[in-house]
Amino acid sequence: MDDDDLLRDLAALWSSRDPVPDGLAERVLVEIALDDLDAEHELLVLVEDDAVAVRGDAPRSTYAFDGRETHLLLRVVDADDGHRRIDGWVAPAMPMTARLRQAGTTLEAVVDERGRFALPHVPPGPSRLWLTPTGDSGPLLATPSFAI
Amino acid sequence: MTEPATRAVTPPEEPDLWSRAAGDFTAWRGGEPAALDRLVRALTPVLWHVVRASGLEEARAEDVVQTTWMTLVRRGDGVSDPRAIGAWLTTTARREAWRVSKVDGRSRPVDDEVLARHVPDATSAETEAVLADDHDRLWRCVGRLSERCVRLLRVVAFDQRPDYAGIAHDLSMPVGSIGPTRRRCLDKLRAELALEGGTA
Repeated sequence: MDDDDLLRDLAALWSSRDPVPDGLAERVLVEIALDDLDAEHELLVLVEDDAVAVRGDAPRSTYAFDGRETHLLLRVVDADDGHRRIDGWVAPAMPMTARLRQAGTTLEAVVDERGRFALPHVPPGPSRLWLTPTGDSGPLLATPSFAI
Repeated sequence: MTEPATRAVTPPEEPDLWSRAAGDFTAWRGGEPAALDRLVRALTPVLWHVVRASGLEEARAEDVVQTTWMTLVRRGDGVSDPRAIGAWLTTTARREAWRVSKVDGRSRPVDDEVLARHVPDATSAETEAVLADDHDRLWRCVGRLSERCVRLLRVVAFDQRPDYAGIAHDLSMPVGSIGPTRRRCLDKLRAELALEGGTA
């Protein structure tokens, strides 16, 4: 058995004994896509991160983000079975779609004419929110990662 | 084709993997986004093995593979020759793996961890196909090699143009001894296989 044959067998061996994890290439592609999105989006800055307990058993956090001309406010409360409800408000109001991305999932909501939107059932975890105008103009916005 | 006969050992697996990678890289730089998908899918397994050969545990190894691709996307302009894309990626991955394992301190030799998980037991060996049996035999023999041999052979088995200078640095060996060490490791492996009664 020459060196090439032996090395080919070894490559096959390692490929079966310690295979590349399922979905790694897909996760790489998702990261690359998000990186592209980052390049197109204005990254909002977290200006306030306020966790307050209200009414005893209903903890609530509020996140405020600022862009050059946009403000975004998120209020997070507990929902059923360990999930969260997010109520959001964008100012100035314009027709937009809000997308909350977590590892492997995306939740979507329409921003109404008053700049409000709601994501009623969000699993906890690190999240980012992306705002895309539905009309022809308007800013593309993205938040940094925050905890839900 | 009049490829010079002196060309370095071509990778055993899929002789056109690297030329397809070069083509995809060129297409991607030319503005075809889908070509990057093909490149990532084709070479992520190779990067995985190169990184794991450095001894990083799985989660860290995944991070290093991710970082390697992000480096290409952000700084791919540094690749002057598309034919070198494979070597650029494996070298970047190996350097990043080395950097991360320095930061983490001494990492566990990966092959002990993998071996422990896969030591074949007698009953399963009986029921498995002949090929699997050959694999078990080879695996046992690999397990008797030194850690340095295992790491070196794993990189060489997957890399297109192994960066001997970089590997020498990682393994704390003089560059000139990599070639002879590779030969000794393969000879040792063949000897182990012969002891097992194989056909090597």
